[in-house]
Amino acid sequence: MNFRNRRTDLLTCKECIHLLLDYADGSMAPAVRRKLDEHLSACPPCQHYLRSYTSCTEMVQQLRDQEAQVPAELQDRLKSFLREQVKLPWPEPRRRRAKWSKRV
Amino acid sequence: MKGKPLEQGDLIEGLKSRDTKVIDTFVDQFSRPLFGVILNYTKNPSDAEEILQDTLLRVIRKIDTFRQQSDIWPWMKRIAVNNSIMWLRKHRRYQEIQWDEWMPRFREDGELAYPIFGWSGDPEEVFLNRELSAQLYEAIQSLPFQYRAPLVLRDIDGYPIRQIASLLGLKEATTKTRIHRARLFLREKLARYHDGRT
Repeated sequence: MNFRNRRTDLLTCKECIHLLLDYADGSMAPAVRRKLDEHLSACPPCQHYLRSYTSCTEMVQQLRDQEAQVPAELQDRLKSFLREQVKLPWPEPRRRRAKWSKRV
Repeated sequence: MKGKPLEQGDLIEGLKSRDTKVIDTFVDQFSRPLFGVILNYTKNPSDAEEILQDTLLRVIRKIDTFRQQSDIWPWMKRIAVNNSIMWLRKHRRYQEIQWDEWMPRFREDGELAYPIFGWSGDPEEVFLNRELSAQLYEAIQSLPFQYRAPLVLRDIDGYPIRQIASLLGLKEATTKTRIHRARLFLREKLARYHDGRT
């Protein structure tokens, strides 16, 4: 691909794609962003890659707050379960550990 | 929804006094949106039902701790998210992915090793195109839990990186790497779908 500038101060495609999360999320330092913009302006494959990366992320965001079908039979079971549970004494709340979370 | 939706104040008071009619309306009113949140973390229906049941019970048990001046939905949603993460961590089923197959490939000089198929879609398309929506959902669900959880927390539930890192017990850098890797995987999946290679 001979359209790209091969000066060493320019980012490579690999470096560019590595930085896309910060770029797409708008959390990138201005100086790095300038370098990335410089690479993108000269590199159509990375422009395509960025467009599809951003599109994909926006599509995932569209799944936010989508409701799901809950069968009537499941709702009835949930109601019966909760009605039974609220008759029972509440369990004592457990004391929170300082670091409750484990690495995943 | 069967009954008339309750005002927030009436709902809270009814749950505090364990009023069974209010509990029924609470299930009618909130089981669907909560189920929607939970299904982003697991597609297994029996897991999701169990998490939903536990979430509804936790909401009732914790209702005394809710600050009344704020909106109750984000609070309930947070309980559903925390519950999903805890439950799935405990009952984790190991999924593996051949990552190399889905990551971009580069030449030795760092340039992309192959031409990029230049698709970009209207984000709204995911609502209109059921097949695309199903492809995307399947792709998310095929991610191993340690990648799926940070992706869903960030891109669907909109949590900041710092909070995701804290919730999952990860460093921020690791959290970002996992989200980025998951996004690259989804991008490639959708690129192949658009290209007819799925």
